[in-house]
Amino acid sequence: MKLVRLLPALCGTTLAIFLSASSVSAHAFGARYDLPLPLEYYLAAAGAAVALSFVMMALAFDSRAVRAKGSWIDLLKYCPGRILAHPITVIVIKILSVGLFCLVLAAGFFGNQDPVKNFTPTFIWIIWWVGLAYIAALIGNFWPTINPWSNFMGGVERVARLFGWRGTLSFERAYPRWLGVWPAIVLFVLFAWFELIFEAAKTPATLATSILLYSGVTWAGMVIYGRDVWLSHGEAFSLAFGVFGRFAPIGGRLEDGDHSGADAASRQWGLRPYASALVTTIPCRISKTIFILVLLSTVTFDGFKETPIWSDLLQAIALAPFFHPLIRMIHDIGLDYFIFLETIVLVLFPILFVLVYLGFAWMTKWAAGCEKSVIEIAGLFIYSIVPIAIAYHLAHYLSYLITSGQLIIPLASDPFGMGWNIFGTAGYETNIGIIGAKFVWYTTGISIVAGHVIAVGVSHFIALRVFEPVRVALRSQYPLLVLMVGYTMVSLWILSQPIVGSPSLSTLRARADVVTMAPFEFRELCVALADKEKINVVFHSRQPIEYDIHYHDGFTIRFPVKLTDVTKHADQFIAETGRVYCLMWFNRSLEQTSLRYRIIGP
Amino acid sequence: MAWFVIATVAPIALIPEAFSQDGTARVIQVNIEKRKVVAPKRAIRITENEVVELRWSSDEAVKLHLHGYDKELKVRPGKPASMSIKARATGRFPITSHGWGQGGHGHHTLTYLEVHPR
Repeated sequence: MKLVRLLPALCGTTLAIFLSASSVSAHAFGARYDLPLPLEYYLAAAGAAVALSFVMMALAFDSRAVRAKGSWIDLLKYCPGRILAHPITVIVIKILSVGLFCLVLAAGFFGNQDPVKNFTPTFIWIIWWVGLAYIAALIGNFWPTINPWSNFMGGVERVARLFGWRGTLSFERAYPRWLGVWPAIVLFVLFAWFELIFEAAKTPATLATSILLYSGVTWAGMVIYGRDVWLSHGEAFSLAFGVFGRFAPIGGRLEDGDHSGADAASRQWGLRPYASALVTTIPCRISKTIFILVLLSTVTFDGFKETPIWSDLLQAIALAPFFHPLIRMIHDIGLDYFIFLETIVLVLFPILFVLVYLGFAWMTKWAAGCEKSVIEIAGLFIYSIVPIAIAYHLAHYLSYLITSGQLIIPLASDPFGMGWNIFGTAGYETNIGIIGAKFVWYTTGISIVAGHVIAVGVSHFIALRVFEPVRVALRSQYPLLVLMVGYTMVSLWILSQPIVGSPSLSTLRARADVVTMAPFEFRELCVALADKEKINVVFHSRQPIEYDIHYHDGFTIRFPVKLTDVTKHADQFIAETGRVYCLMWFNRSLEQTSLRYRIIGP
Repeated sequence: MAWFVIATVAPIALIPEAFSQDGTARVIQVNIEKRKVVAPKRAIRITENEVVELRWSSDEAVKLHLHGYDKELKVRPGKPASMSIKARATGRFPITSHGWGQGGHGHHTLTYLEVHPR
């Protein structure tokens, strides 16, 4: 509890701020109750990862075996596979997917707006986003088959054809080559911001509205450029699940260099060794490389923002006098300071990932002494770091998926939160003891080490296929090995940190006090008021001071009261509606002042 | 492998109070002053399957909520109240306060209850 230790020091000196703004929950939705990975597990996994890296380096892979075509068993030759891939089964699945999509929207708009009583937040954030990523990585990427946007478009086309429409529902404009997968990158960053920073993302109606907006963009893209073109360039989730799906044992027989996301669109289903589809010899284009790095960086950011270090860092920045004018400016514009800060970091994280990765790609080029450009090298080895991200993702979300995911059981019976009981499961209560901490720790340790070893292996295979002779191929691996060890250690470190919420200091203040305030210093005090409830605020300051009463509305701040140059104040404040109001004083003068205040209220 | 053995033994060795095998609940006193927990300083640490009684005192009226186990408790100044817990699930569970000026959204986390595996 670093936060608690910090508080006495903080209360005495500088006090701020907008810290009340966002006691942002751990993830977009739902709670995580994980214990931090203990030191012993942390050291054991880290040690094993490093030791096995050396073992992998020492293993002399037979380069001819590496070059041979990977084994692939056609699942459509067998009866269960044929039934599952039968056109009728596929059509039923596609209709169900569109039906589920409609349910998500309907529940979001018309259902109970309490996030835990509505089907939509649990289904989207836990089952679909976290759960489907698990399935895509561990079993196979079925997203191309169940993608409601693509299925809806296909369905409309089918119906149109019944009425004699010829051709497609798309203008089939030529997609500009320079655009690469940049539309997907932009959409994915917006999605990540929505998921990780925007507090209202768990509100059913907000979530449904956002889904509708994204649908609009997706259908527009499909209509302009054609369905498959947009799926492989602009539909962020097809690309994201496509990247995870390359790790999976079930999938299409990918041609070398096929970097599209929508690869396994039910035409081919086969069994292949884990991670084999990550080995490519034709480099990804730079935009695809950047997409993958953005995807990986947001996975890391999600964990990082729950660590005590992040919480302390936010506070340190918030409390540093140097930043006070800036914070004040953001406050005056009406933006939430914490959301502002987190947004900056969310944007910086992918940039940092790209720069570090390109740095290592440059070192790889240098170590191998090859003719290829840094961008080409980067595109060649980008898939090899994916297993580390998958391993981290599995470890990070395991108990969240299994514990918070149980919410879907009662919600399936009562999706609108209106007291229905369709399947008789509405009374189900979440069992928080379903998996123990030790099980989570062992799984974490094993998956992190396995992910690391597979990553090193994939990168080896790529090098042996691309570089000649073997000696050069091995030499190219040293920089990448350093990168992978570093990446694995960062993942492990995050898992070993206790989960804390974002900081909130403002609630810890006495109702009456005398405080000294340095130039540009803030004081804030928050009170929860009921509808039409009254409080009396009395204060006196030696220097003229700024004073306001504000509240947070989404990510903007509203000011029912805002005064400048006050030295004496005694007034009654009546709450417009029941919510949390924060009183703030700001010393904009260049001299120290003393503030004596008293709040008489509920 | 040795590490895993140590890992299994270490948490038990670290928490000798864990062995309250006589069937009575271990009492942990938690004091709130000026809207923060003054003791115990860090998270409240207990062991899986332990039966504990959290005895709360506060200098201001407050409603507490232990997440996960989903228990609520009202504490008033001069009127301590108790929350008894059979620690069947491991994890790190926030204890939040309702009724005070909360943060802009959600609740204010006072401390955490950490249930460590045996």
